[in-house]
Amino acid sequence: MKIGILCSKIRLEEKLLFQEFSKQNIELVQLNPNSLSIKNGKADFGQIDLLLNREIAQTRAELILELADKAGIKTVNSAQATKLCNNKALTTTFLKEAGIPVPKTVTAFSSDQAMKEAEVLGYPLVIKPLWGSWGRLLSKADTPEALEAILEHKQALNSPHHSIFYLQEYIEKPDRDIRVFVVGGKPVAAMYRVSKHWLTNTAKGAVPESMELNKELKDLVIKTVEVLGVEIAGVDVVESKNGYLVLEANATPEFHGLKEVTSVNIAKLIVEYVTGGKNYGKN
Amino acid sequence: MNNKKIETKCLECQAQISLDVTTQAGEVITCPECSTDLEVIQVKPLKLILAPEVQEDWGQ
Repeated sequence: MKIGILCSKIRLEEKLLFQEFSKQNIELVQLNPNSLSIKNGKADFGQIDLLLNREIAQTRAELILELADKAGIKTVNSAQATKLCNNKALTTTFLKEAGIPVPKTVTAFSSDQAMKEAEVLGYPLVIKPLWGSWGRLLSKADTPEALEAILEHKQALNSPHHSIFYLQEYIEKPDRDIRVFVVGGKPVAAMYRVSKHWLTNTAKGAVPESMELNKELKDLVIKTVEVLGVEIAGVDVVESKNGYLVLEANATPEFHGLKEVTSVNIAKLIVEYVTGGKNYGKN
Repeated sequence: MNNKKIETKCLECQAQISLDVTTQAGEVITCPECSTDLEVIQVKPLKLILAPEVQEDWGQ
């Protein structure tokens, strides 16, 4: 079996994956998007049986996954699942439709409409970019005046992405949120991300803490990844006063923070899953 | 365990940087003296560039 791993940056996660593939004697080839081209209607992926996406740049990853799917190469995650996870508006729409608890959310296509919807949603609220990670460019507006200024600044960025406004109710939470790591559709490990700041991304300084998965959380996460069709994911969940709410699912999840607080070997599980190891899920 | 190092210099401050021989193209390293992020774009021979700023669509 020959696996292709799509990545242009080698982070700790990719290093650990390379090591695990090597330990298990699986032939691995790194496909760097910077060296790929589409010619005569197709991209040359070489002779691979499966493409594992670890590309940090989401736009090019989605396109390449689409092409690999079209070429009949199994992709993990699939182009469709990756697209649903990368776009927060799609994620929350699909989850809400499936009856999964998510924060009240509105996507508006003009600042005027966003202001109107915000009155219904109430303050404080959070404005998130549709794409992106690590808590970048998230804002909290406590008043209409603050929201108006944020929307004006977003429009001044002159980017189509930032002229679609994703507004979400602000959830009071206990100085932490939860990241659940999923491999093969199953939750395999979880951590709290603890911070006094309202943003609880580890990239923003939140501290990982170990936690045990309970049945309610496991069931919620299993349903979430089923709806999105995502096989490997990092699902973010917040504990609201009304129970768990799913914030998002990341289709190329990092696990360096989780690695600090769990004994679960995430890289090993990913390798076992994508290579179809018969022991996957039995440990 | 191979403890050999590849010696190079920071592109920003010229500080001496020792890289593990297992370093791969695509890795981002941080200069221990000036904290500049450098990306390894080629291993043999070693080529570094100033690591690009985080792009709008980068994520996980």
